[in-house]
Amino acid sequence: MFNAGPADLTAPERPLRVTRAVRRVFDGRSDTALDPELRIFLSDMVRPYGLALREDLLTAGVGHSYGEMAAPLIAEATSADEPVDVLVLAFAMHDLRLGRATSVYLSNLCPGGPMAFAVCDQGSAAAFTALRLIREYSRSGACRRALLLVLEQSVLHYEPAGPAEIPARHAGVALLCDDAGGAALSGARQHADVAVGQVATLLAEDLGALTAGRTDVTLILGGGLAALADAGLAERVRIAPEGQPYTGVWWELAGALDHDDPGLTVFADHDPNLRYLCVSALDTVAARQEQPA
Amino acid sequence: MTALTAVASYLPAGRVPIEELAGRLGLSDRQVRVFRRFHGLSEVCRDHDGTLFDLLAAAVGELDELRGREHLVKYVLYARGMPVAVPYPANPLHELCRKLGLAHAVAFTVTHHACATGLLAVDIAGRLLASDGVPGALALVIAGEKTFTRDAELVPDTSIFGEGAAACLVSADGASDRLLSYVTRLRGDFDGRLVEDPGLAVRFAKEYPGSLAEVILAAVQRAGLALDEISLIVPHNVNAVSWRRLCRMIGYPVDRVLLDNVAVTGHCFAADAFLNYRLAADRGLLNPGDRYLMVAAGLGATFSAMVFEH
Amino acid sequence: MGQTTEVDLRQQIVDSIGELLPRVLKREVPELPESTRLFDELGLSSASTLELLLELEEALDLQIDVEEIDQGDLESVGTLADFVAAHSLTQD
Repeated sequence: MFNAGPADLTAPERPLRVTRAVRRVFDGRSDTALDPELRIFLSDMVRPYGLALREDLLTAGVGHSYGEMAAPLIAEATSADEPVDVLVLAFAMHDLRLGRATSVYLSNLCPGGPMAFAVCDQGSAAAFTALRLIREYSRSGACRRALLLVLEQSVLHYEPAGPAEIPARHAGVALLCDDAGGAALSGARQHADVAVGQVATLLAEDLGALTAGRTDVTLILGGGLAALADAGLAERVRIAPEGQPYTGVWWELAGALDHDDPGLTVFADHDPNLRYLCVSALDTVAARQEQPA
Repeated sequence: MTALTAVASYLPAGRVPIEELAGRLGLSDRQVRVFRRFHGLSEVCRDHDGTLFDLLAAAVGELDELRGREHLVKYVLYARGMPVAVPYPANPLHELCRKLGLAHAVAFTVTHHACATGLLAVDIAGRLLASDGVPGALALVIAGEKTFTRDAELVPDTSIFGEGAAACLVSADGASDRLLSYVTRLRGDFDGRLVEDPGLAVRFAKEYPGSLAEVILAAVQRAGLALDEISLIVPHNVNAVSWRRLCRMIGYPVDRVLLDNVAVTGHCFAADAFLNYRLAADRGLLNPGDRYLMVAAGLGATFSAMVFEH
Repeated sequence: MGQTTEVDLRQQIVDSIGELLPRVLKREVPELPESTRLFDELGLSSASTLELLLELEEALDLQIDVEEIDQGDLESVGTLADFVAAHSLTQD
C-alpha cells in the first residue's frame, strides 16, 4: 500500500541512483493478437478517425503485449530481497492488451508490490518524464527503490492517425533505481515546444551546463537527435539503434552503464511531432562522492 | 503542500436514460431495473457528436481561473481511466495544449489507475511543482472520456459510464483544498476482463468493500484524523449501493457521501472526483477548515483515497 | 392486503423465491428445500441475487433494505428469506 502525507521537502533529499539496467528485444507475439475482441475494440477506437484496420496483421496474429514483455525484464532487474516501491511504465505506441492496466498487473509480478502507473501520450519524452517522476517520489522519502520500464512493440493493427515512427521491433529496457551505488541522476531537463531548428543550440547549452569541467563525458543521442551525431557535441557519442524510436536511447544507455565506471553519461532525445527535447545525465563519479542521507 | 486551486466541471447536454442504452449494451429489462433500483443510476450524460478534444476543451473552457494565467502552467496532466482510447499517434492532449496557449507546458497522460487516476494525477502534479519550487506555478489536470466502445460504456452489473469532464488547477503552495494524505492500494491480481471472466467479478465484488475501507481509514489516519472528523466524502460515481454498503461497514453516515451525481451523470471515469467536488462546493457543503475525502476505485485494480482540508 | 404476520411473510418470501428463481436463472429449478445453497448449488451470482430481490419486491410489494446484506444472508434460500423478512417494509 502506498501511503504518503504531504511531500516533506525539508527532509534531506534521497539521492536517486540507477543501479541496474536490463535490455531485451522480443521475438514472438502475444496470444492476444488472435483474440476476436481485439478487432472489436480497435474498430470502435478508429471509427471516429476514419482509419482502416490492417486485416493482414490481424489475420497474421502479430504484435506483442507490454505485460508479457516486461515480466522477464522485471525478473532480471529485481530480486526478492530488493523490494520495489514505485514502478513506472512509459510507452508511446500502445500494445495489444488495450484494456489492461499493465503497470498494475506488473506491480503484482514485481518484488515489493510497488505503487505503479503509466506515462504516455508524450512520444519519446514519456520515459524521461517517468524518470523525473521516480525522482520526485524518491525525493520526499515516499520511495526508496523504483523501476522504470520503457517499452515499444512494432505492430499497429490500423493505418496510423498521422505521421509518426512505428518501431521496427519489440524492445524493452528496465532501469532499477536505488538510493546508493550505481550512477547518480545529476540532471533531468525537459524543454517543450522545441522546433527541430532550435534543437542543436538548446542541447549544446544543456550539455555545457551538465558537463562543465568534465572530461569523462559520453553523450547518447536518441533517434530524434541522430542528425547531430557528427556535430562535435562531445568526445564520445553513441547513437540509439535505428528502429527503436522510444526505447533506443535507453537501450544505448543500458549498454553504456554496463561498462565499469562510465563516468558522466548524458542522454537526450527530441520528439519531432510533440516537440520535446529531453536531456538527462547519470554520473558514476557523483554517485561515489555523495553518501545517502 | 499540494493544493487544488480551482476545479471546473462540464456536463454535455445530452441525457440518455439507461433504458435507451439497454438494447445496445445487451441488458435485460430486469438488469436495467436493478441498475435503477439498487445502483441508483438513471441517466448518463453523453455528447453524441463531440470528440474527445471537444469534451476536454469544454471542461477547460469552464475553468475561469486559468484565463490570464496560462503562462504559470508548467504541466498539463490528462488523467485517463481507459488505458488506451485513441489511435496512435493521435494526441488530443497536445492539440488542446497548442490551442489553449499551453504549448510551453510539459504535458502527458497518466493512466492505469482506472477511475482513481484523477487522484494520482493531482499527487503527481503537486510533486512536480514542489520539486521545481517556482512560486505561483500551476499544473492543469484534466479528466473525462468518450464512451467509444463497450468496455467504456458499461461495467457489467456495476455501472454505466457518462461523458462528464473536469479541469482543475493544482499548485504546490495553495491556501485551500490542501492535500493532507494520499493512500493507494494496487491489486494486480484483479487483472482481467469482467465480461470474459465471471470468477473475476465475484472475487472483485467480495474484495471491494474491505479494500476500499482499508485505504479510506489509512488516509484518514495518515492525515492525523479520525473518521468522524471527515465532513464529506467526494466519491467516484460507480453506483449508490456499493457506497451505502461501505458506509455501513466503516460506520460513516451515508448522507455525507455526495451521491447525487450518480443518477445524473453516470460514472465519468477519472472525472468523478472533480465533478463531485464542484457539486459539493456549489452547494456550500464545504466550509473553510473542513476535512473531506476524495475516494475512487476501479478494476486493475486500484483503490485510492485522499484527504483534503478545504 | 390485510395484516400479515411475520411468519406468513417469511413463508410468502420462501414461496416467492421458489417461483422467481427459474425466471432469474432462466432455467427450470426443482422443488427446493430451504437449505438449498444459493451460490454453490444454484449458481446465483451477486448480480442475479439483486435481480431476485428486485422481483421479490415487486411480487410481494416490499421495499428491501439491501445495504445490510452480507455473505451469511446469501448462504441459502432459508437465510435469504430470513434477511428479506427482517429488512423489508411492506408497501401500503
